[in-house]
Amino acid sequence: MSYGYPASGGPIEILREIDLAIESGSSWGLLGVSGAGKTTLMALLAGLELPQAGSVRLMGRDLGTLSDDERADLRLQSVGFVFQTFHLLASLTALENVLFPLRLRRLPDAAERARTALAAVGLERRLHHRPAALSGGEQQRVALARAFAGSPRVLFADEPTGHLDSGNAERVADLLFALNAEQGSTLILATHDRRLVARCRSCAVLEDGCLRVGEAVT
Amino acid sequence: MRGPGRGMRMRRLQPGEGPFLLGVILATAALASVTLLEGQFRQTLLRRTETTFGGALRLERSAPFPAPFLKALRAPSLKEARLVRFPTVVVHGRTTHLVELNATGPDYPVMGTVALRRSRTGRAEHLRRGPGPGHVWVTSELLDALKARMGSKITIGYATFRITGLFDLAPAISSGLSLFAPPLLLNRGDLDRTRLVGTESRIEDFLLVAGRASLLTQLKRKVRAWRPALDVRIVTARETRSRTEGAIRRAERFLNLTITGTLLLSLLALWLSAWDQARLERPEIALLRAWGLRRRALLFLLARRRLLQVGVGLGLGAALGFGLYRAIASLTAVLDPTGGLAAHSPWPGLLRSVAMAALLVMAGLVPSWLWILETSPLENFRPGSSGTPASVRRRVLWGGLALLTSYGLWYLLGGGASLRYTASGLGVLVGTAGFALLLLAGLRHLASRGPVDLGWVLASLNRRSVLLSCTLGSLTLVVCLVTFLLGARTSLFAGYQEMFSTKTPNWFVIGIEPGEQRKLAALLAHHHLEPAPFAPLYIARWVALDGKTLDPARIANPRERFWALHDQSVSATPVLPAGDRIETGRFWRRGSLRREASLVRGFARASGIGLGARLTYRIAGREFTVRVTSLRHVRWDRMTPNFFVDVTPRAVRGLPHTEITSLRAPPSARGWLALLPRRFPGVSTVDLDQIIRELRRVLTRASEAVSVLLATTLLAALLLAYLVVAVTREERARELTLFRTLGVRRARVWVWLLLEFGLLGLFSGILGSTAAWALGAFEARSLLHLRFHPDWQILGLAPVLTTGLTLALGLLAMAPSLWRARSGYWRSLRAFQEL
Ligand SMILES: Nc1ncnc2c1ncn2[C@@H]1O[C@H](COP(=O)(O)OP(=O)(O)OP(=O)(O)O)[C@@H](O)[C@H]1O
Ligand SMILES: [Mg+2]
Repeated sequence: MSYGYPASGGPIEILREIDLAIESGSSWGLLGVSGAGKTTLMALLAGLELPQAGSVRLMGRDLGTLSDDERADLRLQSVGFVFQTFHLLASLTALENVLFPLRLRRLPDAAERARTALAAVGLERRLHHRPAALSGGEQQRVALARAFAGSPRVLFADEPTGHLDSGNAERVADLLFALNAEQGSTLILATHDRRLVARCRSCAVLEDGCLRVGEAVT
Repeated sequence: MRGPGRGMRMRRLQPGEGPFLLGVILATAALASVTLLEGQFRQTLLRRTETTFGGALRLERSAPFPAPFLKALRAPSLKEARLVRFPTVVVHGRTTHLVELNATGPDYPVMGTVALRRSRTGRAEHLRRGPGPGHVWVTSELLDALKARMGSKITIGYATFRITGLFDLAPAISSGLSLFAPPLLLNRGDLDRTRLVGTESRIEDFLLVAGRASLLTQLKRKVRAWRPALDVRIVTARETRSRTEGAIRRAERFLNLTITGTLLLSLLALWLSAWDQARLERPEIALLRAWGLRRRALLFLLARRRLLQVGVGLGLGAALGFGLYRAIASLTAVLDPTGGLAAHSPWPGLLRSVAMAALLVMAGLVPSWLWILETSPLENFRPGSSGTPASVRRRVLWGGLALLTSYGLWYLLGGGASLRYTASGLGVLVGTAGFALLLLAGLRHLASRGPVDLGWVLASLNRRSVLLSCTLGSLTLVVCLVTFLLGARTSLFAGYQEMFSTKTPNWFVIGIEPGEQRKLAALLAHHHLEPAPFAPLYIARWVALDGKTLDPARIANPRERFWALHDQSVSATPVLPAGDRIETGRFWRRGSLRREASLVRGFARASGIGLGARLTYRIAGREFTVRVTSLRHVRWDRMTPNFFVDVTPRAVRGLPHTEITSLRAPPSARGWLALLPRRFPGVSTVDLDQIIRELRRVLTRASEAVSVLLATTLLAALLLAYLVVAVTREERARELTLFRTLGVRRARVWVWLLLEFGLLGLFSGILGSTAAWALGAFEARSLLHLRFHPDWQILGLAPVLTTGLTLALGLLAMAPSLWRARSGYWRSLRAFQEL
């Protein structure tokens, strides 16, 4: 598949003929310099955006053939996404932010799950704070909790440790890989952190819009 | 400093600046057009009144003005005309009739025209002069009563005159309502020939004056200097008791209320858009602060950056407002051809409204800037994490005070709105704000429980308590004002309709001998005419107050002296006349044996008579005394016989009197009614149609004015409602796209959005409707001098319409963001940078 951002002088080509398959239940790490197109690729894989050429299949379904709403349903039910810039809802508290997608899915144990998820990222004392009152790292952890609290089949994490100190980063990484191992959810990571990628089962490097799969990790 | 400063000025319009500019333009336009229209209407109405009144100002004296006095008053650019009036008898053949003689000089009239017909059926010419030497002009009633015709010779005193004109209305001449003595116009040069006026003669001398306001003020001052020696009354057109007065005053008050409403709405709209604007700049200002720009320098920079924008907005707004004013004014033909637009300079009004708008924009911008500057950069990058610093609160308080002061200034500069209206408006605002806060507490409670959709909507609604209160309060104010004004307009028009209904009497029949009453009634019934109840009329002279004989020479109060010198119409009635209202005291019971009187309040007040006073009158040499037990309010515009003084029938039993009645007659009965005096000697008939027509002209203008102003208020209201909803658009747009990325279906997002706006509209609709009802129920009488009939249809529809309106405006405000999101919500989400 290929992708380019539309612009006045023709699309800015970001991804060129990417060919990629990620096994269900595995973990996959994506490396690349800043501006390489990691976030863009993740968005395409999660069905937030459609490629201009080629197709994306998520859990066996061709996203291009699904309607906008069907893709939304798919995301709500089976996908978790940690945005690089968090995107929390400013008018809701940390707990409400995590609860929000769970309640949308009408999960009976939503409150329970949300608390557990926040506790897992070490925020049990910050449940009732709004995002504005949280530090960058804390916000990132809330975003993380929101993504995994619903036990998604696929978890996309865009720079999940970018704002964290090494101790917390370690903890978050442990958590992600534990989820991957215990619940069998597919973990897709984009990061600059080579140590994180090293823990993935497979990985790739994005360079000049092309993917070099399985590039050696030092 | 130059670097960033220049950068900030050079950039293109940013999101939020477009609406800001639009807000400034529209609010200024609303302000300017309303101010101009209001000024125009006020002038037109006043001019109308002045035209009938005969001048802007009238000096009255119950004896001739001394020559030195007149000479002292003369000023080159002041138009003056003298009018001498006294009752006398005219003789035509063997018929005599009492008339009110009006002797006019060469300057008469200083304002307005005399509508004169040369024959009974001829068309009226409009003349700017009185009759020439040897000529008299009379009313058609007098012509009938004298059994004379055009060209007939009549005798007044020692002189003979020829009737050469019939007039319906003439400035300063009481128009056909002086029941016994119809007016007659005569040239003042002929007065000596009649030999009726000597130095000690009892005449009314009038000086009609028109001219610039400053000259009039000067004149008043001069008159006051003379007053201790000369008893001269100064009467302005506004003070005259005319049948139009009540209706015009109501219309004027309605105009006042409308302008206050528009003002308040524009004020809020301007403030809100400025505040919203400043809010959007917050991160940028914070960044510049973080870079190390000094506070003062930054404030200067911000002001400079907005200067051009605000200037352009104000200029365009003023131009738009002026255009609107001209368009509306000419479209609805509300301009008075006799001296409206040309005489009315738009500049003061324009300048005033632009100054006001500029003040308001700054009042919105500066406190917000201060707020941002006072807050630490860290706080500004992550807004919402803590409260307002005390220093800012203090400054905002000062800002509020400045706003109030500027409003007070506006008021003093002649914006017209009285403090009382503002107080009620503010009361409504505060009340609703309180209610909104209460609502908020309830919402918080609910948000944690209900289903997620409702939960989100409620959470979103109460995202900021201050914002919600502002939003609800403003919307409520919009609804309340519009609903109230619409309702009041209906009431106002109902009043007019009543006045011009097919039942309003258009003929007076006066001078009916008590013995002939039954015969006349039978005759009227035979012609299918239904007269109002006959009222007895006693011509009485007031001789004593509380047992003390009145000595006109020693009475200080000019009104009191006037009545001590003049005959007065007194009526007797067993029950309170229909349409009258008791303001203080109690009206007597039917069949009361006491000797009591009920006075019209204004009359009593002006004459210095209070409740409980004992009045002694003399009729045909016999005296009787009554005690004032109630003060009444009279609807003069009902066209039925009304009297300043009503007494119990017992008090005047056996005293000579005549009867008077009014009735509604179709045009076909006109000729027949005019001949009535031949069948009943002593009876006169007065055709009120002319007066009613004149009145209708004035009131149609007034109601047009009211409608037009209401439309402008609606415009301001719409603008405000849009701004209120638009304030949160950026935040909403971001959430909208986020929901989609999180996996919420499109329809569901829409439902949330609609639900939120709908709820907002519903709440404020209900609140506003209730407030409007409260305002109507408690204030309509004192504000508008009218009974407020709550229009349940409007009150009930208001919440529904507001809901629809808020929905529409909400979607309109969201449209740009929704449009952007259409191309891909993910990309549009990326466009929203994290603060
Ligand atoms: N809306 C847009 N229009 C045009 N170009 C865009 C747009 N959004 C992103 N880009 C460009 O696409 C490229 C890839 O962006 P992307 O965010 O995917 O990079 P990234 O690899 O995630 O970088 P980082 O490591 O800094 O997060 C960048 O060069 C960026 O400039
Ligand atoms: Mg990225």
